[in-house]
Amino acid sequence: MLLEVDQLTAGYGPITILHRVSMGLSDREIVCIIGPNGAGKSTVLRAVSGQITPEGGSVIFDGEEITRDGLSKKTEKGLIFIPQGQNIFPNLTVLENLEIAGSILKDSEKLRRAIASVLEKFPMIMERKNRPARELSGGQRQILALSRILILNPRLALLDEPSLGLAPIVVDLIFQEIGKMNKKGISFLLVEQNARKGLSVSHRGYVLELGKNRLTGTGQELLNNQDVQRLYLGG
Amino acid sequence: MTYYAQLVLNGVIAGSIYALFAVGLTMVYGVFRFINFAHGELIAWGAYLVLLLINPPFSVPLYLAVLPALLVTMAIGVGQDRYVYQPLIHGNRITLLIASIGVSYLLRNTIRLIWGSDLMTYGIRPVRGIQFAGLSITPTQILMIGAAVFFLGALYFLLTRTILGKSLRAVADNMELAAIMGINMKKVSLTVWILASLFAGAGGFLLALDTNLEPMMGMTNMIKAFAAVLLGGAGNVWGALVGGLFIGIAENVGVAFFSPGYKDFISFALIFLLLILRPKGIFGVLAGVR
Repeated sequence: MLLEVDQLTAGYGPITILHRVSMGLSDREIVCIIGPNGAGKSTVLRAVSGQITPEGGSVIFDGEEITRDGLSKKTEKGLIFIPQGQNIFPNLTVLENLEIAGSILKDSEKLRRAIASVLEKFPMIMERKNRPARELSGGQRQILALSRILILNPRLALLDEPSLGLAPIVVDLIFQEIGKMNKKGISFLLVEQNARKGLSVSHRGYVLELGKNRLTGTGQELLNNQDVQRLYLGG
Repeated sequence: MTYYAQLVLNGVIAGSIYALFAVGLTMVYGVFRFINFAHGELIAWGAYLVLLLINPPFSVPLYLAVLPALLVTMAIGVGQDRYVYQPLIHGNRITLLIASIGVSYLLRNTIRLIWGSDLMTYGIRPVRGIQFAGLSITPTQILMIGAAVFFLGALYFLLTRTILGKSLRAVADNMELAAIMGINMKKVSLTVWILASLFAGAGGFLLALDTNLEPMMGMTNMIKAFAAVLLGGAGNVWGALVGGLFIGIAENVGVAFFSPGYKDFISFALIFLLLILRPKGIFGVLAGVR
């Protein structure tokens, strides 16, 4: 197992959102968390990434206990978090966004090469590299945010709602990119509101409800499960 | 015609100093999301610390007094943050605003306690202005413009060419995301306070060199900087720069139409109009480099 989450309890101040949630992820796996609003899907990512400190339980990454490590320590160990929605800096140029995304890399030559290869890979971003990122379309912004994975080349990326607010054709493009990065050896733990799409690209899935584990299975099993179909896939 | 050209020139001189004040004020707003009402006192302390050093018991020559005075001003700025604002940073923004008003009173009245409320000067003999094309400018005023160009140019370089400056803009854009990306918040906030105090202290010294010192000088200039910040859109550094210049020019050209006694009325009127009509600043739509 690359990531083992055991009996995780977490929340914000006095409010506990997650109650003893457990899940696991093997190396090179894409795992999707689905569930209704308020199930605590994003909270799992926040607690695992170190943005909030868990109240109880444990997080083991690559055989090492990292439950209470902060964001930067986890990033250095190869576990990165891309939050939902506002996940780029609108007033920085596209190029500056990439520089900040990779600023934890100590080797500036390596960073420069990584940025160059990202720009080469996405011509639509290259064209606007010196323009403020706020001028990008929703899909281009998401590509820019995901570029951080290409620059840092982590073991595991936590993605919160990568398809949020995007047109269906752009959603397909984003998931294609996630698939390509996965083939290169990067594992993904993602949260998706679009359960059908999320499960169809994932090896396995977890269903959360009210901060507790409800169901688990392969992507296909969950897609075919009658409860899941009725509750989250619209019949 | 020369009369109006001279008024515009005077406006540019005053405006370049207002721009220094406004840029610092707007950077603090951009990162910490509150208007630091004690910003004006950094202006006054910059000026008074030079006064302290050139008089007995120190009696340091003026040009040697500036650097240590600015260092102490920066320490006051960083101290404000460390001992007053940081402990309150997770609270309501109004709490920070009120705390800054308190700090402002404390620092201003400390000046009154030490130096009294009378007008003071550095005691430097006024020098005749240099004449060209019918316009007059004193060496001090040339120094004012030169210093503003130097500081703002250095700031432009920092913000657009260095990773520290880019990190600062990233934090102003989205603090939560900046933290996720591993940006060192302590380093960024220290940089913001050092820059804001340095610009305020240096501007305060130059103003005092050109005119005089009095305990209210910080407050008066803070209001002008505040108007410039609103004009440029709060948090927008280059907007604040243009706003500062605009207010300097508007005030001085206004002298042709109102009695000079009403000079300060112009910035207050601007604040009033902007808050009602354009709370995002005149560049609100353009948003600018933050």
